Amino acid sequence: MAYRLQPRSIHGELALLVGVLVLPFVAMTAYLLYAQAQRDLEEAQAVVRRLAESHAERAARFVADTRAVLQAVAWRPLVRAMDPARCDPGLRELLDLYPNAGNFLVVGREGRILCGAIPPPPGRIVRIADEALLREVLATKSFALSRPVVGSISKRWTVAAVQPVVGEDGAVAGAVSMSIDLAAWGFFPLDGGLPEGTIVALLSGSVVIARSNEAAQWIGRDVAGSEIMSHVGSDASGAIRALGVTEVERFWEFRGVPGTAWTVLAGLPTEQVIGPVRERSQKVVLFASLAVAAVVAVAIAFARRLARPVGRIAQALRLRAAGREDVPIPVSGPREIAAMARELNRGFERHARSQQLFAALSEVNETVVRVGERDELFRQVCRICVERMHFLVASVALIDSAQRRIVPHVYAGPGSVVLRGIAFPLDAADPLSTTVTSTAVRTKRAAVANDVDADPQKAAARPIRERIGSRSTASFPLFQGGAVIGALTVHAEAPDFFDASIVELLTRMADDISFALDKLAEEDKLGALARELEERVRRRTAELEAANMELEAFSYSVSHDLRAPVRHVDGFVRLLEKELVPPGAKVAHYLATISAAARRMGALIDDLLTLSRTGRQSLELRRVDLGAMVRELIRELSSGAGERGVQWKIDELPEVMADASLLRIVLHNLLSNALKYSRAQPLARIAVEARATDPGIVEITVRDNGVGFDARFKDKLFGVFQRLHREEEFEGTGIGLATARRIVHRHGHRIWAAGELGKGAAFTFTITQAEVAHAGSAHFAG
Amino acid sequence: MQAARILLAEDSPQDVELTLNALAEQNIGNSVAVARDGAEALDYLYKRGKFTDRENGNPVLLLLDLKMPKVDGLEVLRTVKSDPRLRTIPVVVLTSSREEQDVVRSYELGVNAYVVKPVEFDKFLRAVRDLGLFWMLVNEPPPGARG
Repeated sequence: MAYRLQPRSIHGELALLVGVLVLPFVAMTAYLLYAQAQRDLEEAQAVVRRLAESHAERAARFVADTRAVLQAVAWRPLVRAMDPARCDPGLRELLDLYPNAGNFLVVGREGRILCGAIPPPPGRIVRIADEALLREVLATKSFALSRPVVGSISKRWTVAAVQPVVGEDGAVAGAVSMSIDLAAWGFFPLDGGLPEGTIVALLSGSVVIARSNEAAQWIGRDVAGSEIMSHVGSDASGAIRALGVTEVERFWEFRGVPGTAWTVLAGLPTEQVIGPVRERSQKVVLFASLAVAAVVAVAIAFARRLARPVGRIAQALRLRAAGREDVPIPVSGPREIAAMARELNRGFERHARSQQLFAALSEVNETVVRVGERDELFRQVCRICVERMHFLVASVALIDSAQRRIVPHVYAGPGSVVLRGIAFPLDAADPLSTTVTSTAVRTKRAAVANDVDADPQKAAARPIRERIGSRSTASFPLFQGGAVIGALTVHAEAPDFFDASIVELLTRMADDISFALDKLAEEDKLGALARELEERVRRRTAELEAANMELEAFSYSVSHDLRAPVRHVDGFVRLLEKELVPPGAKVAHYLATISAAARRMGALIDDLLTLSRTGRQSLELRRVDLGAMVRELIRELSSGAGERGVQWKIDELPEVMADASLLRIVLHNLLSNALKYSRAQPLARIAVEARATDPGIVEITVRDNGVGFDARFKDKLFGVFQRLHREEEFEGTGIGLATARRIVHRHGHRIWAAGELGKGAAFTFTITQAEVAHAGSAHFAG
Repeated sequence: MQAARILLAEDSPQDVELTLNALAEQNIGNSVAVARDGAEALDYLYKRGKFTDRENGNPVLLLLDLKMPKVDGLEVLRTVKSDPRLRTIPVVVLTSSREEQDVVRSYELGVNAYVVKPVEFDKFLRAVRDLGLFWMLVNEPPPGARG
C-alpha cells in the first residue's frame, strides 16, 4: 500500500520490479543448492555406512574363519597331546595356508609356549603374551581374541586368537593361538579400493589394529582421547560427524564386530563432501550474482532510457515555469514519451501562438485608437500581421466599384510585392473571383482556404500563392458605415493554419478595424474643420510674428536714426546761439522754440519706444518689493521737483509678482503724473495706497490733490497721444498712461482712473500679490 | 602724426562735430582722432591703412558709435576686447540706441561704459565732458543691476 501512497521514481519502480523478479530466482537457487548439498551429504554418509558395514562383516567373517581354523587345530592329536617334545608339523603347513597368520602356537595351561609353527628359541621358556586372555579362555573353554600386544616371539604388534584345547581326557589341556601380525595383516587390500579420502580402521577397544592406509603408523596406537572415540565407546554402531585423532573432521560410521571387542570405523572428511558443495555453491552464487547484476544493469539501462527523456522533459518544464519560455521540450526516448513531448511542444506552440495573436490583436486595438489616418491604420495592421503574427503577407484590399474589382491597397511582408498591379474581380464568373479576398468581399464573411493546393477552385490564384509561398490563406471583410469596403487578407506558411479560434480572433481584429474606419470617418468631418481653423491660426500667427519682427526692426531704426537728427537740431541750435553773441530777442525766441521742439520730439520718440518695447519684451515675473521700489522712485523724482512742498503718504506695501523693470515704468508714470499735476497746489498731497481685494490680488492706488480731470474723459486718459491738458500747462507726450495700461494688461490686470476737475485724481491698478513668506506680514490690508 | 589721446569712432559728421565741440570745451579737442567707420577705427588701432604712419601707442579712451558702416561698433568692441594688446583701452559706447539688446551685447563684450547720446545738446555736452573727466558718471549700468 505504501507503494501506492508513495510514488517513487522510475528508477525506484524498476528496482522494485527487478527485486520482485530476482528474489524468487535467488530463493529457488538457494533451495536447489541446499537440496543438492543435502543429497551430497546423504550420499557421503551412505558411502561411509556401506564401508563400515561391509568391513564389519569381513571382520566378523575373519573372526569366524579363524575360530574354525583354530577349532580344527585344537582337534589335531599332536596338539591335544600337549607334548613340547613332539610338535605338530602340521602347524607349519597351516602357516602357509593362512597368510594372515603370523604364527600358530600351542600353549600349556600355565601359559608356557610348548611349540609353534615358528618355534620359540630353544633352551628358553617363552610365555604367551596375553596370559589374562589364556586364563579366560581356559576358564570359559571358548574362543577369544586378545588385545593387541607385542608378540613374545615376533616382537611385533600382534593380536592373538585363542582356542582352548581339550585333551584326550576331556579336560582343558591348554590352548592353541593364532597370532596375527598386524603389520603384515592384509585385512585391507593395499590399494584399498576405497573412495578417495575415506579411511576405514579396525579397532580393538580403542587400539587400532588395522587401517586402510598409513597402517604402519597407526597400528597399535590407542586413540581413546579423540572425539570420535567418546561416541564409539557407548554404542555398538552409529553415524557421527566428529574430529578424529588427526583433528580432521569427518563423517564417521562405526560398527561393532559381534562377539569381539572390535569396531570398524569408516570416515570421510567432511571437507571432501562440503568442499565441492561449497565450490558449487560459490559458482552458483557467482553466476547468480552475475545474472542479477546483468539484470540490474539492463534494468538500470532501461530505467535510464525511460527516466532520461522524462527527466529532460521535467527539466525543460521547470525552466519554462521559471520563465524561460523559449526552451523547447526535448523529444527523445520511447515512443510514448516522445509523443508526449511532441504533444507538449505542440500545446506550448499553440499557446504561444495564441498569445502572440492576442498580443497582436491588442496591438491592433491600440493602433485603432492611436492612428488617426486610414491608410496609416492599414499599414500598421499589415505590419502587425507580418511582424507579430508571422504571416508571410498581409494586405488590405479595397473595392474599386467603378471597375468592379478589388485592389490591394496596402500590403506588407517579404513576398507582398507580387500584389502590386493585381486586382481581384468582383464578378463571380471570373476565375480569380474564387480567391479568398473576392469571396470575403462578396459573401461579407470570413473566407478561409486551409489547403489551397488541394482546392481546384483556388487554382487560378496559384501563381500568386506560389510566389508568396503560402499554404493557407484567409480573408476578412472590412466594413465602413455598414457597407463592405474591402478585405484584410493574410497568408500563412503552414497548411491548415486557420483553425476556428484563429479565424474567430482575426474576425474580431477585422471588426475592430471596421469600427476604427467608422470612427475615422466621423473624425474626418470634425478634423477637417479643426484643421482649417488650426491652419488659419497658424497663418495669422505667422503674419503676426512677421509684423512683430518688422516692428522691432522699425523701432530699432527709429531709436537710432530718428533720434540722431533731432539731437543734431538741438545741438546745432546751441552752437548757433553761441556764435550769435548776443542774439536778438526774436532770434533767441526762435532758437529756443526750435530747441524746445527738438527736445519734445526726442521725448516723444523715447516714450514711443518705451511703449513699443513694453508690448514686445517678454515678462520676467519675480518677487518685487513694491515699497522699496516706490521709495526709490520718490527719491529720484523729488530731486527734480525743486523745493516745493509735497506731503507723501505711503501705505505699507506688499511684495508682488511682476516684471520689475516694467512695473517700475508704471509706477514712474503714475508718480510723476501725480507730482506734475499737483505742482500748482501750495501743499501737494500724494498717497500710495494698497488694498487687498480678491485673494492674492492687491489694488495699488496713487492719489493726488492736483488739478484732476473731467470724469467724462477718463477713458481717453489711457489712449496714445491723448491729453486732457494743453502742452503749455503740463508738459508731456501723452504716451505714459498708455504705456502703463499696456504693462498692466500684459500682467493680466486692470488699471483705471477716478477724478474730478480741480479735486485731484486717483489711478488704481491691480497686481498679483507674492505668496506671503511668513504669516502676519499682510498688515497693509486694513 | 601725433598720437591722439582719444579715438572717436563715429560715422555721423554732425555727431563728430558736436562731440569735438564738446571735447574742445574741455580743452582736449585737439588730441582727438576721428575714425569715420569701424574699419577705420581698427586701422587706427592696428596702425594700418591711412594710419600706418601715426605715432605708436594706444589711445587712452575709445569713444565708439554702434551703428557704423563697414564694421559696426560691436565688431570693433569684440576685436578690441579679444586682443591682449588693446584690451586695456577703456571703451565707451556712445550711441543713440536705447535698445536693451545693444546694451546687453555691449556689456557681454566687455564695454567699460555705455552712454546714450541725449537729445538735448546741453545734456550731451555734459555727458561728453563727464566722459573726458570721469566717464563712469553718466553711463548706463548693466541691465538688471538696478532691480
